[in-house]
Amino acid sequence: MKEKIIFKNINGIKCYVIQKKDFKGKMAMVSFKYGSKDNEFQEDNQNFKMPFGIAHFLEHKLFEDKDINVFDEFSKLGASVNAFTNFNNTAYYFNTIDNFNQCLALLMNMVSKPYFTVENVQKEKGIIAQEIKMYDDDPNWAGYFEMLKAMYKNNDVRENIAGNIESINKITKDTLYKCYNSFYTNKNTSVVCCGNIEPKDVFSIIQKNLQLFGKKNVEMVYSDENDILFENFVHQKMGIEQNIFNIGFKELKINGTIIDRITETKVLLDIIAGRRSNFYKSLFDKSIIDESFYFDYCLDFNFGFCVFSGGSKNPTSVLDKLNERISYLIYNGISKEECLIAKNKQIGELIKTFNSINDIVSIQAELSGKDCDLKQLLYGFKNIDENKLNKRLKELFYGNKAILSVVE
Amino acid sequence: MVDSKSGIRLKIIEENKFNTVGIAVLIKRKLSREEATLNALLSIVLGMKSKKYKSIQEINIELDKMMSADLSIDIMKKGEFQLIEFYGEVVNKEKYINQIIDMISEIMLNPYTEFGAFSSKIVDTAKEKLKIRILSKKDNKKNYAKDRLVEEMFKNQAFGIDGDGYIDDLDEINARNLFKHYQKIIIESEIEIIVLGNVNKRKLKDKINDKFYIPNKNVIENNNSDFNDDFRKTRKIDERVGNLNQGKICVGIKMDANDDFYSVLLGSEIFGGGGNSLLFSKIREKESLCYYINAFVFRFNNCICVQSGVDEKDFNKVETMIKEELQKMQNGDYDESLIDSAKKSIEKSYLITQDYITSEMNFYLNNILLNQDYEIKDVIKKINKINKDDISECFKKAEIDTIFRLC
Repeated sequence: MKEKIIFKNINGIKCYVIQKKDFKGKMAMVSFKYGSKDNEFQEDNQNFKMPFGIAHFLEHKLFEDKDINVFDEFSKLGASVNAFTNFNNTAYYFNTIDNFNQCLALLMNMVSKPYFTVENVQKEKGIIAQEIKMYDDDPNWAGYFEMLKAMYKNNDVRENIAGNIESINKITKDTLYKCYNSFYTNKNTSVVCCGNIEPKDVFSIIQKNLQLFGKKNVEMVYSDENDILFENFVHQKMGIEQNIFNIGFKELKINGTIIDRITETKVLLDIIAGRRSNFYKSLFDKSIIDESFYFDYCLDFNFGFCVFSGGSKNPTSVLDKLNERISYLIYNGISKEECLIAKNKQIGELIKTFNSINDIVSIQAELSGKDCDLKQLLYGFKNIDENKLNKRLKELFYGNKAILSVVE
Repeated sequence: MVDSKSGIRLKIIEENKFNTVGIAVLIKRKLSREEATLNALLSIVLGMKSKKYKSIQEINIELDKMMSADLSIDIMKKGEFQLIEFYGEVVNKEKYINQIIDMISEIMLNPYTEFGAFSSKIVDTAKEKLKIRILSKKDNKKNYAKDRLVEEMFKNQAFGIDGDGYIDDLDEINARNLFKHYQKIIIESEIEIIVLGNVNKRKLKDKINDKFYIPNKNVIENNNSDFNDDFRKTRKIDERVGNLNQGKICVGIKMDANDDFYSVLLGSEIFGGGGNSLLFSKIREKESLCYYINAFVFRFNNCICVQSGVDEKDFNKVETMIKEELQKMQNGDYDESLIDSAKKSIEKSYLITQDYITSEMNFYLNNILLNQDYEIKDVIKKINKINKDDISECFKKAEIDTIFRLC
């Protein structure tokens, strides 16, 4: 891989520049380590429990400015601006062809100047209520969160990212300011930029314009329930044509570094259920799973889970076959040859990732929230051997029970 | 140019900036009711078993060993065309490029046969897969509403035909007649081949012409289905499904198909393209009635579709607002600055197509299907010349043709 990742720490803010000189597009993303699961915290010996969906609400409101219309300003520069919230992070980004430096300054300013009023908070409730309803109609989303609700009793990872109608009505401008000041701090921030851009310019613009004053020492409160399993089977009727399953395995004990966990688990999931596996063959050939089948690993420092999901006319047989496959691998072990094919596949995937500015930025931003980068990811894959895989396989699945969520 | 003997039009785009090389091979047919399901089924059957690859797993094992190469067969609808597309993408190593060409050629031209036809078992399995695919489309309510709008609005045109085919057709199809159809389209269709990446043009030309040589090639263009396009009043179609939390509304606006596409595109961007468009500003930002609302243009017929998710109780209100904003477009009742930002936004999206193998290929494919020869820089020049009057002229001919509401 010829691309270099240029890193600079600016007052605790992690800044990354990846140059792609032949590409037309340029992108920048500023990401904060504050997501939908981060609702309970201690500050100055006080305990705070915020309403579900507040990180996402804050994301919407940060586009508000007292004097300018942010969307218009980006439009004038020829850029498109957007944002997203997930369990672990809130990220704001723009894509542009020209005027990268001005756009970067504008983005840095935007996230530095919160402006919440009673009126603009009230107005947003209607919009977010529609967003919530849109997701409520999505059977994939619904099934996924039903699975999480069965997997976790208290960890807010189980709550819909946007919250629910009841919880968003509890949000006020004061609670928004509280969350902004507690979490939008230098140590929680990463900026990732990619395209035909100059690192010197980028770092100087960030230094000048990203002014976060929150310096509070906040201690997160997470429920300690990793090794507990709750319900095993949950079921929902939505009147859809093709049943959707979400099979989840909770990471019962956190073992190893973030890079170890990510790389080893990704390789493992592909060996278990990837397109060349016997598991995939036996179910796909009989149309028990289809093109919608996918699997994923979601994690942070103190939680993790694997999910297998897709459409199926017989979700229980998918679970049976999956358990069978995992037992087979635990019993027989993963061979050196299998490990080599799987490793090279992930490296190939990473090479493809470097074709896309969007992918480079998104993946690096997610990794920097976990204190690692793309280069470490590549080395992590290269350093995998079958012993590590067999160990991780047992740690993740031995003595573990899956949760099956079905939407029909 | 389509080579008159081989029926192949080969376009090789040399591009150094990607780590991978993409190759698309497309069998081009005119959309017709008689063929739609046959073609869709073929796109599944051909991927299941060939003379060399006994199963999908064998293909997948080989792909994974090629550092995770991609290979897929898709059925596409573009304007009045239906295309079976074989797409492969590999990390840029000569051996992988040769391998993926071999693989595409194998599954396209060497399907597994039994007694001079496809295997009945495979065709039955493929039918089930197609049935599941068609039924599952209904479960994505946003897309389903848009598909239904197209079906109703273009009921009397080829574009209204479903590119994935129809479940009702499946009983009539068997291993024999499907194979006959396959043989016919291989011999009679024009084949578009597009390669993009850091490649050796000369070596590649020879390899491709060799691997996709079809004996007895005889190009005969098939016809679209015959339709009557009668004018009718605005149609409003309501469809009720159970358990919907949020209603979906799709408004189909007919424009003059002979008008300049880029004027319509620019106008559509101002009307409902992004965060500062008329529709977004009014219906979401001002009235808080929706989370998403946008307008887009159908590339091949200039029609505009507005789609939004709103509560059922607000349907009429939102429809009225859409009509009001449309009138502003007709009267030029909006700030000049919106034209500038719309131009920049469209310019950006065209330039960014060059940052992705598939979107750059798609641009060239559209050129071929539209019989035009623009480069992206030509398109940008055209767009920058358009003024408010040009846009108003186009929009004065706008007519709300069909409104589809799902609740």
